[in-house]
Amino acid sequence: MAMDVGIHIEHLTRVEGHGDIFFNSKEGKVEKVQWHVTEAPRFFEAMVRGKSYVHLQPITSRICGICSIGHSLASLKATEAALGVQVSEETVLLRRLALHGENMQSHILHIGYLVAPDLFGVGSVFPMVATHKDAVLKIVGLHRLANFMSDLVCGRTTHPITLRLGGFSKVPADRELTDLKSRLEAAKPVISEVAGLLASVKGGIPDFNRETEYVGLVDDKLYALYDGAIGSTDTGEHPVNFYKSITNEYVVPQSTAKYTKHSRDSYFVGALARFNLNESKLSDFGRETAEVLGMKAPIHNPFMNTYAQMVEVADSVQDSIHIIDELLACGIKGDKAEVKVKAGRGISAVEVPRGILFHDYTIDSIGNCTKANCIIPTNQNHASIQQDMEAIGPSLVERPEKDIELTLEMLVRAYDPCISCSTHYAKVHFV
Amino acid sequence: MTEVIAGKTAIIGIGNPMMADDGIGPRLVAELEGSCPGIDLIDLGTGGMQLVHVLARYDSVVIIDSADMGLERGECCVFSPEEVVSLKKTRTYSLHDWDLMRSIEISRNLGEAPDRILICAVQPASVEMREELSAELQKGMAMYTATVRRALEALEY
Repeated sequence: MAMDVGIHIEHLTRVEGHGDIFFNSKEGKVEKVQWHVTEAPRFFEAMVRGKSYVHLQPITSRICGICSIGHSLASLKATEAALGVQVSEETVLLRRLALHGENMQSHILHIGYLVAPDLFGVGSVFPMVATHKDAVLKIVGLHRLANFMSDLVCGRTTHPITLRLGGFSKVPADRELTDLKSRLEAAKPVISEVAGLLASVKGGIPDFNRETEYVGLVDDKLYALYDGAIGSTDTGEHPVNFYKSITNEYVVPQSTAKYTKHSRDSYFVGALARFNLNESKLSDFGRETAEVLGMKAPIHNPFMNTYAQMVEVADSVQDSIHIIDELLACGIKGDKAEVKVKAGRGISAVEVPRGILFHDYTIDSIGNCTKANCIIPTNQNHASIQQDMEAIGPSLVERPEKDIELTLEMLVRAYDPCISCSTHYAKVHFV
Repeated sequence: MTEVIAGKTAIIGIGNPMMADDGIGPRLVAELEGSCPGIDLIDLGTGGMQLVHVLARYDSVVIIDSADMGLERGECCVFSPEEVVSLKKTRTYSLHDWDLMRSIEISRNLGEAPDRILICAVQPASVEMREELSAELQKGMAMYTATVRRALEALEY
């Protein structure tokens, strides 16, 4: 007979920011299972109101220290759309390269430092250094490469400084791109080895499926990250300008973050959504990596989001090599589009590591922002996390409390939620 | 002073300048700007895993951070990683909740750590949301920069 269980995980570990999990069961029946978001709202949309269009990207990029490149690009695209600015093909290629750098950075970090401990049965990445030193060295090496790429294209690892309205303030030299290309080529076997390692511990992924709606950018030719239409596995393609008809934000009592829903009670955004929508657009290396991981769309197991991230790391490396070849073939010119102030509204969507991100600005005739709306991916996933918990809950009641806790924690971690920021200082004792 | 140090050397400031005394590391790095020829001065912000990547590039480093060492508010102390054990409880193991001593441990276990590491730590008087240091730490700035310079000299031995 199942034991009565009362679980309250306050401030779940190995996620960015603060969220709590509640699980109560009595006589083998789930009484309550809930995902709580406890962070205070941050009011970025109010912060940019009244600010000049030139300040929108530097302010909104600070929404996230991990996705600051993605937020910058969403902000620049929305501002450029409002002002009617057309950027050059070279700028688009460099921006796509910047986004690949960030995607690799974030995914490797999540796979290697935050999820791998669950799959290897340890509490954090620290003991893994002793037990799986070779794997950690590979992960650290890949993370370092992604940082190098962001430094080169964006001027620094986080909070980019070269991404500007209309183009770049500084572009990489041909020799720097050639060097980056050779580093990316050298990383491919390492990625294959890490993928092989992940495949070897796939048995640790809970056998759980819940079919839902998957939402992400789609494009005729590319595995869409920088641009595209909004794609839904339920309802097909939608123009980005109608994003509010997709997100339909609403509030729930247990969360300080807004929830979203579209054709069902929840939808899923992030690497797994992109994989389910765009698998056919993967590069050869992305497809090979998916095969190593035994992945074929559609996949309805949310725990596999981490594995979809690994596929995207491979795809980002391959597409980055392709982009560098294109840039080198044309020669980098440092194009910059002219920016003129006018009144208008601009809406953008960019795929950032955790899913589709929307920025929407209204700018007046003197260039000040009068209205802003930013909808971040993690908020779009909260309802899906809740629905998954409700679906998986009944199958857990017979299990030991520690197993229930671990499964629910792994579920939330699989979504790679990014909830907020905090402070740090060391605490030591002399010996 | 600095020319005689062999290999690559850095002073790394860690902390959040928007949390009062937690930001002493970046503040001291800014204070030392232009006065340490041949030494890389790095404001690493809140550090985290980034520190592991940065440590791999150097032979010698002085890390400046705020630390609860049980000392008087504003007191400053230089020590090597071997001289302390971390009592910090990293509750969430996220990138927003990382421990300096763990980063050094990872770097060493990966075989990438600088040969010489010294930590110059300041006991905070106030860690709360504001950009200014506490009066105690503001008063100590000249003493802290002198201590960092002495730590840099000590790296030679």
